[in-house]
Amino acid sequence: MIYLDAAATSYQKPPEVYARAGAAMASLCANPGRSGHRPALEAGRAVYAVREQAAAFFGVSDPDRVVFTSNATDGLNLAVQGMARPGGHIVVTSMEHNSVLRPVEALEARGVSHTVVWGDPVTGAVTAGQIEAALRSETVLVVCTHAANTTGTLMPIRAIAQVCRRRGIPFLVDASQSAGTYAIPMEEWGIDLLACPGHKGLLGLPGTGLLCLGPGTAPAPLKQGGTGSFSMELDQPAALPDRYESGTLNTVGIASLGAGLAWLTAQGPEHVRRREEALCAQLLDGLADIGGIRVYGPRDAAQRAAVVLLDVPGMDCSEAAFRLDRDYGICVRSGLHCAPLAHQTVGSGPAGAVRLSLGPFNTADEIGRTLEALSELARLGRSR
Amino acid sequence: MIFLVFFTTTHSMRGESEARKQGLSVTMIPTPRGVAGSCSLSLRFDGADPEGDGRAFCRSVGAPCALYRQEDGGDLTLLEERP
Repeated sequence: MIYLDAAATSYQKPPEVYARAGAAMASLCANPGRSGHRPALEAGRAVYAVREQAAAFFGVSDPDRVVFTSNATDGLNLAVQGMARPGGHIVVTSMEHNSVLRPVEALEARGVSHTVVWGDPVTGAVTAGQIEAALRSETVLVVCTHAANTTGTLMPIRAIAQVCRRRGIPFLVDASQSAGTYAIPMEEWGIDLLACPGHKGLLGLPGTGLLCLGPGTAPAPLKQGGTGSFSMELDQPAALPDRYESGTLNTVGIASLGAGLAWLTAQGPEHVRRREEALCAQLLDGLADIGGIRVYGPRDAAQRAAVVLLDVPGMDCSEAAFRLDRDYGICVRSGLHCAPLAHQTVGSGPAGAVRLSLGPFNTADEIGRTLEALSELARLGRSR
Repeated sequence: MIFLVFFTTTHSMRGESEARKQGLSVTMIPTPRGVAGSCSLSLRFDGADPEGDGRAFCRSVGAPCALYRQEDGGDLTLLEERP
């Protein structure tokens, strides 16, 4: 099997992650933060250790401002809905995932308007100038993906952060496709909210995610409930991270996330990025030599995360993905990838396209075999 | 008994971690109910000078907390507070 769907989730994980998950299932089964007995304390210590790791990883000066979520969608909803105000306005880009677009759309019914800044029709990229031009006096939030989940397009989040900081508007980055591959020192860059899943580039288990908050950033909580703190008070506690972590945490998942963070830290994000960029460059170079294959997004691997969107000539994208899986054992994703406006931006809509997304464990040999498979499919498609 | 109450689990864990780094002899205990009805955790100071250690630590730890003395009969005295 050749797994090229890292943008959906990481399939291959470091052995340390599997080991940590197994050990956690056996030994960290008590509820962290509820009881005071030894198993509960052990679970609490394990969770806190990962909170500290995540804070260091993303340049957050206070681990209290690292909130564990169940996935990036969870964190993005908390950020978007929590920062919205009736009468307010949100700026998003056309390359966002539905986990941003749908809550923003739903907020219209609550009197929160939004503006979509459209990306370049070839690369999908937006500029900081475009974002600034969309700002209004009532803008309460700017949202931008770091790397588009369709074309991999890397967005100028540092420049956008500077614009937002100058204008006093909170800036939310969706780091779903970049966390773990690209260093994102959020406080240094002036990012106010950063959401990411734990199960993609951070190599943890599904059911994990992070929402990191900048100093003074306080979205309204989406849920209220037990936090194991201030229990006499019926109001949701103001203390972080409890304010956003009602309910039992996914201790096993968080422990696995810690193992993923440790592995990435040991490798160094530059190592992972260089590796994935080299594989992506190999893929892009090879695709350019296959007649009829159309690649969307930046041609330069340095301008995109290792995510490649393409059409196979004469073949519906669903059929192409099916044949790749059935005949070649290559796992990809076809369709709109929960990002309909992104496909509209680069012209791959309305049916979508085939997406190949690479991870840190893919190899040059796998890319070579994928290019051979796509070459054969393209030949089949052209013959129709 | 001298103990330092933290108001969230995260702060309890941070406090324990910092105390151990400072070489203090501490034990994490459930907070006596007379202080907090929540699932709160406290650090009990077990060294030779528990009150001295507790006061110094309360002033240095980077989290809201409150230092108490509990007598054998259960009477509680608030010694220091860090809101």
